[in-house]
Amino acid sequence: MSQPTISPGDSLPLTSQQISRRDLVAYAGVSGDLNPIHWDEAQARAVGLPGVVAHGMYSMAVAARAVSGLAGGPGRIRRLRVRFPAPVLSGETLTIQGQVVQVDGNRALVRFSGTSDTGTRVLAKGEAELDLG
Amino acid sequence: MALNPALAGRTYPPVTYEVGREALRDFARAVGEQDPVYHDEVAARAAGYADLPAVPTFPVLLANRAMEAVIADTELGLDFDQVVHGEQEFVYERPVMAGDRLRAVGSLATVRARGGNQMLTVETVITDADGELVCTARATLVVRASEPSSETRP
Repeated sequence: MSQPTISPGDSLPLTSQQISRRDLVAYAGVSGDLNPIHWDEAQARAVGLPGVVAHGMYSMAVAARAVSGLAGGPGRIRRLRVRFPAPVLSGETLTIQGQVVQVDGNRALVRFSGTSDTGTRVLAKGEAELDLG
Repeated sequence: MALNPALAGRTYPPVTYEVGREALRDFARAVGEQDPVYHDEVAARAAGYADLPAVPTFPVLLANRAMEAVIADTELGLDFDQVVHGEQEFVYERPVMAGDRLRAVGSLATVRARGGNQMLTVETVITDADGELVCTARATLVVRASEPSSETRP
């Protein structure tokens, strides 16, 4: 198994995605999270949202793509955590940024965040722990 | 309606899930993951996996199923329309793999008030057919105050 070398300061691969309502409908179907705020404009507005919003877990999945890209697959990912301070609106573009902040023996710690194209922080305090052993 | 803090520690009935390759591909496709390791068994085996692995957030599917019992718990009194997903964590022993027969048990790790909101952490422990731990998922949910907030009062 060829695995990339990981060093402090390494960045997550550039990961950016415009999230469409079609994406959210597809995600609702596969994930089983059928909350209508993720696909029905009227329902989203009824609970005080400006419109349809992405599942937090959809945004986390986009971040996980970046982490998996750095790690060289899922086998080395030991922990993944993130906060959702604000939702991504349907139609907005989510951009993930992050880097390896620490390598200690066989463990690497990655910190990451996500912003929408309006500059809103939508993923905060993102952390991934990788096992390099 | 206030959540019942006395229910912290409550455990819900297990749900079971058999992991199929197409379900893994569908999930990977839905989140835009194109790495062949998640789609092609040959690529997965070449990378050292016994079969197709799941993308890291796939266990949320089991957590969502386990959560249904939490939402339905009338003693807890969770108004799901007011729930916002605040934080999510996964701790992995190994990736979920095609062919796994998984069992997920949800429990209320914490129930507490914070500011005007209430928060609860639902922990889902996922084990395989041998009873070995695969992944622990922790969802922190924020229940927004359903009364009018101060800024909407005259």
